[in-house]
Amino acid sequence: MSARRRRAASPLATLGAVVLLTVVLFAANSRVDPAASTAPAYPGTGGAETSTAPPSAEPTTEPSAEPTPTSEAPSPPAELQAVYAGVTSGGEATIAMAVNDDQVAAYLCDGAAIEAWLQGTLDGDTITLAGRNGAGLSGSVTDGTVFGTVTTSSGLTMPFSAAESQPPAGVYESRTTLDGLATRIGWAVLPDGTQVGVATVGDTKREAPPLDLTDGTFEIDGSPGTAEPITGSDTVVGG
Amino acid sequence: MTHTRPPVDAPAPPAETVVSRPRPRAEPRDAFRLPLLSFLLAGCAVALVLGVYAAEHEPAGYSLDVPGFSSPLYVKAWLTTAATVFGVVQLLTAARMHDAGARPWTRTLHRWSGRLAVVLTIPVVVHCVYALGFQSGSTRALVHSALGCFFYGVFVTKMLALTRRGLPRWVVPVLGGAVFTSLIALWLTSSLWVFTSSGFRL
Repeated sequence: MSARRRRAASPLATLGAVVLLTVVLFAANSRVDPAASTAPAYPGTGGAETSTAPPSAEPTTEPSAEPTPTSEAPSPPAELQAVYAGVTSGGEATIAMAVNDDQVAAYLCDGAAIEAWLQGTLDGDTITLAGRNGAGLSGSVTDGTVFGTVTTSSGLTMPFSAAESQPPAGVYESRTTLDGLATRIGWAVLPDGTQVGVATVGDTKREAPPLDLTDGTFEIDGSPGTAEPITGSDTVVGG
Repeated sequence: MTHTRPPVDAPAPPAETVVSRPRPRAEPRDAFRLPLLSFLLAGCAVALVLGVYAAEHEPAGYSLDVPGFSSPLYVKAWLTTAATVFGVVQLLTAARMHDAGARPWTRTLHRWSGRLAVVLTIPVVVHCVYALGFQSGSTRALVHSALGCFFYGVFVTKMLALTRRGLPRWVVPVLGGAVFTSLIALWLTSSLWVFTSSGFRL
């Protein structure tokens, strides 16, 4: 009888131990994670998990990336999408932004170590975007050109201008796994096909591989990948 | 003539007890259905929660490093390989679990190899789900992601099924077979892929 009861209980004990170990490991990961992600200030890394992170470990700089739809969207319904692309005034970095109604997603990078994923809204002719760890952008649309200021998470502030552009200009993104490390690659592409990108492998940044703009394919460290064009309503910060 | 009657009556009570032994509470034949269904649903829920969390959670890219291995990738590859070896032990001992003539340590070996196997996979799945997330970029990644969710769902179902007596005899072997098959497929789509594409090393 006791043997029988033990037989009935031991799978539950196994199950309980497995659940416990899983929870402990998750907790350990999410506890260390913010410390690991704030230093490199990668806009897409860590801290975005909705429920598992301990509340104390959540970075306080989390911006509200949810675009709030305003009833008076300025752009006419027919023109759903627009792409603006340009460079910062000092030529340090390239920026591209995609607008979908009143929702805006943007990517700024220098092709080496600086990058920022930004998200926000277009209200009238004013664009307000936010990224991780204090990154942000404010600008206004005048005659098909966005003039404004962009700030990276490292505190670098740069004026920029970006003109409304036709494809292949735009923001391209790929998420993949490289050598077991989560990898996110972003490209800002100018209308003439000039592309500047940064690949973040784990927590190190480097120049992105060239992107084939005809079919969105690329090759990084010998393995092929595909990039997707980003629209204004895509989530590029958090999520 | 009258002599024969008592012998006929006499064996009746023992025969009744023999019949009633397998079903002491006189449960209906399909009494297992509801518990089995709830175990299966619990497994489905686990698989679904794992998959949805892995897909919705922003991949952290972060991983705990284990000394002695060349990279986190190889930690995972070797942990999965070790779990698979224990999985093979599971397969070899599973058939003898209910064999009365089996050596007594067979059951102990089966239970503990299973526990070790699943415990070895936990650091791997935590890394997969937390750092990488559900990926569908390639067929291998998609199959691996889906099978990973399936594996833990079936595992939970099997653990729950083991707690209940009176299930049909096929239930535990089928569940165990599904756990084993998905473990092997997970190994093929991860460790073997790493060893063949990145090199066989620690």
